[in-house]
Amino acid sequence: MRANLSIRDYEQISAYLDGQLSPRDKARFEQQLRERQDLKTALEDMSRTRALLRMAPHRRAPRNFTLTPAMVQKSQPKRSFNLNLFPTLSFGSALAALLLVATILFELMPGAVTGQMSAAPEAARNAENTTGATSMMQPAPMATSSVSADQQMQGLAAAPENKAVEPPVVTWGFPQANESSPAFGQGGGPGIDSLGRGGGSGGGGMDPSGVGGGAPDGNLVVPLDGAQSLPDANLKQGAQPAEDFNSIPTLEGSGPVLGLPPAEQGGQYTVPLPTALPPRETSQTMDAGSEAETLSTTSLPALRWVQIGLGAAALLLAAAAFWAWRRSR
Amino acid sequence: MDEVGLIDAAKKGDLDSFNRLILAYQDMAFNLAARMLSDDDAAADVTQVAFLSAYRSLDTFRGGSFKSWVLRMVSNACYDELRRRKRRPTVPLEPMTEEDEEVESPAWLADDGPSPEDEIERGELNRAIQRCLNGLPDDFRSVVIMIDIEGADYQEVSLAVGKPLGTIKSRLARARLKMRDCLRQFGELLPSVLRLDDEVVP
Repeated sequence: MRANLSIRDYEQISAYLDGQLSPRDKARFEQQLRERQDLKTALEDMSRTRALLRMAPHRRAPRNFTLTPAMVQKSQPKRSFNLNLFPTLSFGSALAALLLVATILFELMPGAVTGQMSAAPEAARNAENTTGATSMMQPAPMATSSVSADQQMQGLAAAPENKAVEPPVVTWGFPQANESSPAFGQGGGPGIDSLGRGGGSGGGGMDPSGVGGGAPDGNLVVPLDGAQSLPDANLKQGAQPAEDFNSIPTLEGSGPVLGLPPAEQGGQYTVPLPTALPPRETSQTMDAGSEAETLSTTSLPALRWVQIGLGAAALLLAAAAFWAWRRSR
Repeated sequence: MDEVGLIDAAKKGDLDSFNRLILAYQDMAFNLAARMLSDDDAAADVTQVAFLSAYRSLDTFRGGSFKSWVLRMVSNACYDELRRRKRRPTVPLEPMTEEDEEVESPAWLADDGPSPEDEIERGELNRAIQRCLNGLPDDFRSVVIMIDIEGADYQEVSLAVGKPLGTIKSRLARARLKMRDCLRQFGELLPSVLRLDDEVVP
């Protein structure tokens, strides 16, 4: 009858033979030995096997394996070269791959490439999105006839990014305004400076003194030829001559822009505020955007070459790392 | 021999001190390699590589049993050699018939050496054991060689193999069980005192 013992039994037998059982386990195992014949036989078999293995002759070294300085010198540089090269190459490969992914993501990111190039159109679009700013950007009705939208947008596009968000003020007929001598509005765009010298359209200022219409920021003033004399029609309908502004009572209201009352409530001053940009301005913005797109398109080949270089570097370094790894094994 | 002093001197670059350690352990190292690889030439190469590797990485030895550390170096070198053999297996030389069919067990491939019975009869227990050892998994073989042939204790083998004591016990028991079953093939040719019974006496 073949012994039907579990692996656990054989592990106990083996450990018992080598004296590796704890006193408690040893006592329990010896108790089982007295009760189970198959366990006793298995113990004898394993004991013989162990004795056979211990009878195996020891092989003596056929020669001395002592090291010579030449052996140490010969082996060290090669080994250390391989050991140091693999991590370096693998890290370089991983880094190149990460940079490649980063450049691809950067390229796919909307507006990431064109962000800096189209700062001016972007600022112009931001200005459009602000209702008040949009209304302030509009030229006065008087000026509409003489100031073209092209000129305004060119001024916007040429302005620095931090200047573009400020509303351009178009004035004529008066010297350039500044803090000490505010301009008197005659059709100037509404100002938004901290002194409240915002000029309403047609020259109606919100300053209690009635001073308005000037552009506090002289950089945005667009001098116009022939703007000294205003069309009579505009003067009659919306703009008031500067000489008469002292006689005009101060308006109070809760209009959307600088407290100006709506056209139907103001009575004396009606300022038609366009609700949307003229189509021409929109097209100008799009033109500027298209220009930026063109610029970004021209810069793409350089980015593409960078991506190709990174991809090639990642592949070559990975191959070299694999080679170094194989050599080091 | 002051082993600790020799190790310290070797760490400082004294090659002579390390060579004295090699002389003390080279038989054990070669015996382990020869039993693991069953090839004396390969065992010699592996032993040399292991000692060279041990000298280079001597700084990583943090004390304890230097014997275990050497056993670990040698067993790792043996594993590397065994893996290399598996990656590049030898192609059996099978003769072909006129119909381009392989001839199995050709006469010229027959072992001209003595049969196992002759080997045992001539007291060549060694070859029988080696044959059985070759049939063991590598992890089992290294443990049974270190403990039953080299005479190392469980703790030393645990350090050398890098496995807990429980794993060593389990591997050793399974290896002994397989060796017992293998050596039974030699039956009566084993020394009578050590003859393994095939059946349990009821």
